[in-house]
Amino acid sequence: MAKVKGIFLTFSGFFLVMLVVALSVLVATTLQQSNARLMESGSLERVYVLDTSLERVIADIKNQIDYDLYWDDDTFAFELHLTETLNSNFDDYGNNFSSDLQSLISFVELDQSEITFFPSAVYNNDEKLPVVVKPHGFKYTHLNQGGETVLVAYPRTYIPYIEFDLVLPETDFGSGIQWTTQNPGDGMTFVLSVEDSDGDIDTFEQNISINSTNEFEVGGVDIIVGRLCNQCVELDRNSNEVISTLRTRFPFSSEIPTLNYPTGLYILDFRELGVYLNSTPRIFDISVTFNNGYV
Amino acid sequence: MKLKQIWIFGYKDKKAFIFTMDVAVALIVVFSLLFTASFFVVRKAEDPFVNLQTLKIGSDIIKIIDYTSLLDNPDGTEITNFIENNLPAQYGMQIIGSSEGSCYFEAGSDPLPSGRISSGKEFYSVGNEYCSMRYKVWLK
Repeated sequence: MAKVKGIFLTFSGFFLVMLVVALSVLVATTLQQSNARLMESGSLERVYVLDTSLERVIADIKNQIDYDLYWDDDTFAFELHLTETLNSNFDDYGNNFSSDLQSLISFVELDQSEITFFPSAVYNNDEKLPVVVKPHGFKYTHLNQGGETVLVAYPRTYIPYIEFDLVLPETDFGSGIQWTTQNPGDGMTFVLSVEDSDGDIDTFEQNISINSTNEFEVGGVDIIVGRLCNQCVELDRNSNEVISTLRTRFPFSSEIPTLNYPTGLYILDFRELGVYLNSTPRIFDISVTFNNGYV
Repeated sequence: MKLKQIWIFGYKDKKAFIFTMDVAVALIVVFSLLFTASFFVVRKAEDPFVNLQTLKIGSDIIKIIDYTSLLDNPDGTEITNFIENNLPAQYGMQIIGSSEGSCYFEAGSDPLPSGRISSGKEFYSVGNEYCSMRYKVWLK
């Protein structure tokens, strides 16, 4: 009897110790994994901070486009205005931007070898300064057509409204056009306002579909909407200096639209940390204001 | 003398002695394991969260410094005053503009000789010059 008690006691003690050992190993392993996740989180935070600071610096580089993005309570949509003066040929267009960006690239790639830039994402022989509105995929860019800078906007997803305001300083143009689509699912409202040398604003109106061919000439400026420019709105200033403002609306969604340079302008490749980031730099130089005063 | 006395005890006394020794050894093993486990639990549980938090506080302060335009023409004294007025009292921070020329500045206090320090790096620009800074944050 005493022997059985002894064996029972010994085994009980043994299992108790094993239980403690097993629990200790379990706790240590879990904590080790948790620690590893937190270390990863810390590394990601460091890379994120580095990435956002670089985005801020890139956004501060002046390109020649003025941005304005705001919420309009009346239309219940985000309104985006992009204004610029188109007064140069394609080779000259955006030279200040490309020069400043090149200085930044030289500095950053030397300072942080894990970062590599691909400037052709924002300027190359065919296209310069493309701006993308996320999440809608709307693209506003400048193409090379025979050495001339042509402004092109690709609505991509359904955009109900696009408006061009043109200021033609040396042209006296005296009539108005406004396009309004008959089939909202098939096209969009297109409004063109032209300000002449006297400051008079003329508005043109016509029904339009993005799926059909629409070509106009206003004071020496060619405007093509739809099929001829591959589902886009194209503005070719010819030889005139044109101040253009493109206005468009993005219907309400849970995600606030953001202006970005295209994906792939630079990558962050921290192999030791297992982090690879193909950046889509956000242009911060925008103001989001609400009609009710909230910013 | 005492050792000799132990060996001349009877069978019953030896059994008690072995039982006592067994319990003692078992208790030592159990308490060692418990102590080791709790040591690792305490050590591993306290560090990473605090380090992550200090890192986030550092990056927040840098963002505010940037948004208040203090980096447009960085001045070590101004930025030090800003840090002293805005960084929670239980933290210490040092920022060094790593580039030369108008980018260079030193702000904040020197880190403690011992203790854990979280550090990060950010880019910024001064006029047409591009710069980077490294910051260190620690719990006082």
